[in-house]
Amino acid sequence: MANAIEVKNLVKRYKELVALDHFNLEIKEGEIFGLLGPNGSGKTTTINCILSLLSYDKGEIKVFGREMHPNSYDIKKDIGVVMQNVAVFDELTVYDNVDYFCGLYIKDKAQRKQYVNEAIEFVGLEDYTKFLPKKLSGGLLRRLNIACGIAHKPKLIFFDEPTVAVDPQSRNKILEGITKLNEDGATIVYTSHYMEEVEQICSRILIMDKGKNVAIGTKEELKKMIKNTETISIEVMGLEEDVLKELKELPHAYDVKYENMTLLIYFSGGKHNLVRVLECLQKRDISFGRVYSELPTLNDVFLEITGKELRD
Amino acid sequence: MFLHNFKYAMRTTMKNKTTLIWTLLFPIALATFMYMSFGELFEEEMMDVIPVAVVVQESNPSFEEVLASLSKEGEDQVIDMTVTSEKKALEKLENEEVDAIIYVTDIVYLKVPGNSYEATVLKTIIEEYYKVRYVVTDIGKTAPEMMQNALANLRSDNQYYTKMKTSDGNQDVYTNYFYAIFAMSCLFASFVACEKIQKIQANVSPLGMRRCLSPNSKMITILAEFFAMLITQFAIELITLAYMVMLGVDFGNKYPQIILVLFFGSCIGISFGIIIGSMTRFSSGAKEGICTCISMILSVMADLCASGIKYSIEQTMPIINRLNPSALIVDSFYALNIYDTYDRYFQNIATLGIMSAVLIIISFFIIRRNKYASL
Ligand SMILES: Nc1ncnc2c1ncn2[C@@H]1O[C@H](COP(=O)(O)OP(=O)(O)OP(=O)(O)O)[C@@H](O)[C@H]1O
Ligand SMILES: [Mg+2]
Repeated sequence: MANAIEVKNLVKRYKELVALDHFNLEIKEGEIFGLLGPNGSGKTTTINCILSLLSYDKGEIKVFGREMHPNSYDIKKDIGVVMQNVAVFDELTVYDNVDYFCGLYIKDKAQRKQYVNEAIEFVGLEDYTKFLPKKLSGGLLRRLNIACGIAHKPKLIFFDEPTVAVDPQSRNKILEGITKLNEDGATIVYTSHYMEEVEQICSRILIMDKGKNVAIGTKEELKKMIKNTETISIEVMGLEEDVLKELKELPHAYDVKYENMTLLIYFSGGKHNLVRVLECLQKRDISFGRVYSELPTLNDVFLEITGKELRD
Repeated sequence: MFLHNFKYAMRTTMKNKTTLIWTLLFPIALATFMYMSFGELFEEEMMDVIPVAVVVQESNPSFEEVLASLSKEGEDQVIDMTVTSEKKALEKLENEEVDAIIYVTDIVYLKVPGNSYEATVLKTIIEEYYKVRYVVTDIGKTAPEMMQNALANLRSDNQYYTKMKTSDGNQDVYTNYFYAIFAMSCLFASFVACEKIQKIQANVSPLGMRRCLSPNSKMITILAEFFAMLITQFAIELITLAYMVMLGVDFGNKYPQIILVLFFGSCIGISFGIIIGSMTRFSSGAKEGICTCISMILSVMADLCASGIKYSIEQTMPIINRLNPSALIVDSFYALNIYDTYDRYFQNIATLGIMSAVLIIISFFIIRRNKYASL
């Protein structure tokens, strides 16, 4: 598959602050590519550079194999963007908003009408076509924002945190929709700081921090990069130091933490880790509450590589 | 693509009802206010005839003829005279039944209490009589054959008095205030333009960002917005004009030319807002402040609040009046009223048009800026 986007050695400075530091990125056509990073890591900056909205200090950006400029209209017509901030006209109804933005790309009237209706149906706003944006709830407004960005059926779509402030139900609908767009042939670039979302829909993920590429791969590949394979957490009261010590000595365990009455034991490999932990506790007649055994998440990947939590 | 943009530019302008209503209400309220302050000057009732008592002490046929003609009933009637004795006349003056007493002898003289508007009219009538009489006597001596003509002139001069009566009280100055209202209201269009143009810029609004991503030239978007605002503003000016005409403000009768001034006035107001809106240096609040301030200052300089400022600028730095859009608008009206030729009028209008085009082109070059250093 050809590359939809190629970014090489991108450097972007805002005065002294280095927002992107020799950042590299390759996105293949047909992918749902996830850009995962905490607040302020440079996701939006990356997208704006690719879209030629922002100037950058160094680097090379190609979209569909061609260099991207502000007046590369033939590339721009194939791109759709759902921005982090809602960008719609307050004065126009839902239908008119979608029609306006679609009309900037699609000249043919009949085709435009069809596209607009499809977009509205796609985000489930059929019952709200005559509403003004201020009459929509936050989640519905986000959906309108999405409809405006995708109505012209672009081949490459950027979603910059489209699910912020959206309830779980709407969020799932949005995620399903994105998968559907991808099935219909669009390449998707999806940014978020919610790792669950990224894990759920992205075929490949790039984790970034402070403008740098931290790790890249499928979620399985990313998880294999780290030594953690299992984290066991147990609710337990009043553990003594020597117990913790003994637990840390268990085969495959490499770290133990005890905070807020929760015991966390990290394992790297091994098959019967949970059984051994529980045996150890029972032997000393320690009673415990809920027990979980968790497989590594992208948060663990982020934690292990950068030493901090991905979550806020 | 232009039409698509234009259609929606028009729709967003029309849907923004609050702004629309205020832009319309503002000149109308100002006009109403001005009308209430010195409105009497425009009312027909002010053409009231002046009641005078005439005391004939010595026959003076030529002046009596003038009086008779001035008091002839009809539209042109200037005075309502009662010929009476001096005693009765004084009584009437005392009781304010009459405004003045005219004593007719060989030399006519006038008795009026104080320095009223009526007094001015009557004095002028008498002065004029003397002027003409002098001419007539002169003609009598040098060219008696012209005498008939001169006398006819003297008698048919009502028009002159009536006119003097209505334009007295510096009506020109007052009308000038109404011209200034147009200037101000045109410049206030900058406010809306400033706001709308910020919705095109990627570094100012998310909406601008999204529009920047579309595969279209910014010039199309700017022009579409410009024409939509122009049509709206122009309509507002026309409504204001109609309203002022209804109030009785005397604009003369060159309406097509006046409407052309309003058209170019709307142009300049909008392009002005566009250029301010496209300055990236200021926050949008600051830009709106700048629009308001500049509109106010330029309008005050064109005598919106007090007359005389424009004149003193003309004396010290005339170039400012040649460039101040507000002064140009006011001056175009003035030139239409005063001059029979259109040189000055067209010069003003051309300046407005050129300035407007230049401002739009500059803002296009600012806005189309390829990339932003920061969003
Ligand atoms: N216009 C700007 N001027 C100065 N600094 C900026 C500007 N925009 C972004 N930054 C800084 O650049 C860094 C990257 O910001 P960016 O918006 O790309 O982060 P992000 O990953 O999109 O974060 P979020 O998840 O909060 O959207 C941040 O440190 C931010 O403070
Ligand atoms: Mg962001």
